[in-house]
Amino acid sequence: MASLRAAPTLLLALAPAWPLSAQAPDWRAAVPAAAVPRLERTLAAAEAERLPTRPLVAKALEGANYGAPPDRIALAVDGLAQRLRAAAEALGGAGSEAELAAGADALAAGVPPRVLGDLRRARPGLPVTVPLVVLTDLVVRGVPVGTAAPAVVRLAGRVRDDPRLLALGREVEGGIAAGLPPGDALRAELDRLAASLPPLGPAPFSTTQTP
Amino acid sequence: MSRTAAALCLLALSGARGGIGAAAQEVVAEAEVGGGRLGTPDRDEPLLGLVAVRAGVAASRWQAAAGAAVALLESGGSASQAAGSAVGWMPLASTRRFGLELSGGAGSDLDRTASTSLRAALLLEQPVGGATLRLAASHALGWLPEVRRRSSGLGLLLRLGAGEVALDGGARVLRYDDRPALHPLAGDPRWVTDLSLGVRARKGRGEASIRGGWRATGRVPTGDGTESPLTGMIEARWRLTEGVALVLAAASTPADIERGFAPVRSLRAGLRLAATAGGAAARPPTQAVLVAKPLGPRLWRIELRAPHDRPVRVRGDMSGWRDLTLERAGPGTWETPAFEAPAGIWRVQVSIGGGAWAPVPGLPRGPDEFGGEASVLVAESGV
Repeated sequence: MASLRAAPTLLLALAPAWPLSAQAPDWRAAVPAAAVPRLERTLAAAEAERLPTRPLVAKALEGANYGAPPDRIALAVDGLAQRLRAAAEALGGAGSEAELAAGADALAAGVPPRVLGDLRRARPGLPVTVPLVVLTDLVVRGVPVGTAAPAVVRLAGRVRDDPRLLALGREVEGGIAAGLPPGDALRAELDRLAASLPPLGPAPFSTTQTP
Repeated sequence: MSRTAAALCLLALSGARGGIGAAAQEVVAEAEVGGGRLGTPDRDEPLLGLVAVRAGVAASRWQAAAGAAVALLESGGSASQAAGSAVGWMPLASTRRFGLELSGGAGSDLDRTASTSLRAALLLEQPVGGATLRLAASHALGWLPEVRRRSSGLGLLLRLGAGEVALDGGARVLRYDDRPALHPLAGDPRWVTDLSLGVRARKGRGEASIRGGWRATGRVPTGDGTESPLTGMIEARWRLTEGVALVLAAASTPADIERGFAPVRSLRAGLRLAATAGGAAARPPTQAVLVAKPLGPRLWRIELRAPHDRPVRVRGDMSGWRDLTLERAGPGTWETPAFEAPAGIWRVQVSIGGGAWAPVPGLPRGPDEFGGEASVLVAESGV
């Protein structure tokens, strides 16, 4: 019953994007019919928890686009709903749809939930979407999460410029393509980035004497 | 505070202001107030207060930094130090760079002896494994009370950062001679060797650093006291809120031979206020080949930069995974028709020339659950 009551709302709220000239498609028509009931239950539960449902629909459509079987699509959407829930909790109970989606992707890549909280604390008052995307990218490309997570947390607190953070991922991608192991590619880029950050003047009456 | 020190204070502050408004630069500034004790081998006095400012600005090819500190003594006197430097960098290879650093300093110590210095250094930075190696060759001129000093140094610094812990170790050999102001001949050259080792660690809101040093020559170059060959510094910071930190520090500083600063023992407690401004990249970020251009609150167009004539299609979360065909918009530029979608992160794939769907080079990757690799496009509404 819950799913039936929620259905009209879902139809309005969950429709993905489409070109202006096109007719809005119903996601149910695009996914295997056998997956629809389970997906509707997952979406209704997510909506009841005030979790964003658009990423769930997008995941179902992505699976359908790849020709995945109904069970696999439903399983993937269920898993994403769980990760959205975990991301919301790890980010302190509040987060934009983009932050939660990026957090869920980070969890799927193997990033521990506590890192999401670390990022939130490192960037008070600023969205953590891009740092999460960059961290996920690094881990997916093979950088050990134990190396990538502290580095991104620290950079996210220091570098407020999202394009600059996104450029970090591109530079690491270039390093990997050039033959560096992923962890070394990140370290090399961090060294270059650290060198490009402003230095501070001499500490007052202290021992800062570099060659 | 000497006139020169005051001038450098003003230079530091005006430099910081100049950097904040520049789009291609980033500025970091700190101000610290505190108290404690200040001492040389001969004297030790409590402080009424300590005020210090530090600032740095960086662009893609240069950096500049300046700092000044004034310590007010309970006895009514004061001590001050100010220094500034600027470095220009030239890349030699993809990971190696060459720099020219010019710096100057001025100060007066507890005995009200004033000094001024100018220094030039050639720098070479080279990654070594997971560390960064810096080599430096420097030459400095110093004007001390009744003495003109010339010094030349060779040094190396190895910096290794791993996550929240960073290590560095350095060594430097310095040769200097003092020439009396009214005497045409230089004094006998003297040699000093410095070794240092430091570690810095961060966890949560806290940061601690400790550094130790050993100086092979134990004679104080200015003054009559004897300097200990062992020096050290320990500092702890606790971030109270964004930009405000509590600082506790103790240091036994060796004589700064190039700048002519006397050795100092200090104990400080204070607040550090830090601000970062200028959001653009110090090094211009490489450009993504695929971008989402906002045309309205929910209206977008995707642009692709690709130097070929083959047809291009894109699909992803923003289109419900239906194909969007890109049209040529100019030389090497392709774009989709306008479409509606909420801002956020979109998983996307691209197909060029009717080829297989693939992730987009230069865009972040996301986790893969269906056996098809996809990129992540960050769509931020600027409208």
